[in-house]
Amino acid sequence: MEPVVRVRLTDEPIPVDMLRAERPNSGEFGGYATFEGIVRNHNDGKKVKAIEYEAYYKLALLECERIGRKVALEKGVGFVELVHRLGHLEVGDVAVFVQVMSHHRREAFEACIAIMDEIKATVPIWKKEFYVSGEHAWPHCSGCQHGAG
Amino acid sequence: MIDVEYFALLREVSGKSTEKVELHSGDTGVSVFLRLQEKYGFPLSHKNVRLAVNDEFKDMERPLTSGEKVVFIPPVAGG
Repeated sequence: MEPVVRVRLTDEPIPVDMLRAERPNSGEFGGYATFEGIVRNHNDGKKVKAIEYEAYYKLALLECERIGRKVALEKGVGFVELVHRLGHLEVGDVAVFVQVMSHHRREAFEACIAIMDEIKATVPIWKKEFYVSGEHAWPHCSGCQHGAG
Repeated sequence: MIDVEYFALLREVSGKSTEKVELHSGDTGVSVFLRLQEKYGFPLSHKNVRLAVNDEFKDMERPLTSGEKVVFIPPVAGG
């Protein structure tokens, strides 16, 4: 059966409780796994005050859809939802939310992990971190000769 | 001419979001990026940049054609 894949990029806080409540309820899925990525107050030894996500919107959305569909088919799960925040986020805000439903638990856990790994590797979304010290940087830019501006 | 769009670090360093760029004979993603890097001083190697043409990932060695929308994608940090 073709999996249901829902994807969204949003400037608004992710309505996690609503998304959980609106997941499919057909009775065929016995496994339900979710993942929330949350803005940390530290990174690389620096105290983080806030972050800003910026996306190449069209390609980021296409890439999230591709990842959701690919992982759903590979892992054999029936439902995938992936929501990524954009814009300004404070420490503690939900940056990304993934929920997966499958017949059994293992595929749901594995799909969550695979989706997050692929998002981090390929989706054109960038994070600018603002530190308590007043500096800012583009972290994870491992190939950059310097990230701080 | 191609339409280049900048994001994140490249937008910040170039000081612009979009720009029209003249194509030279035989231009590829790599050659155009290197020219822009010389102009703006982008602090990363072309080996760490991906290319998107008309909203699709393409190989950096791909020849570019007039009228295309080109985005150079620095290392991503979503999730």
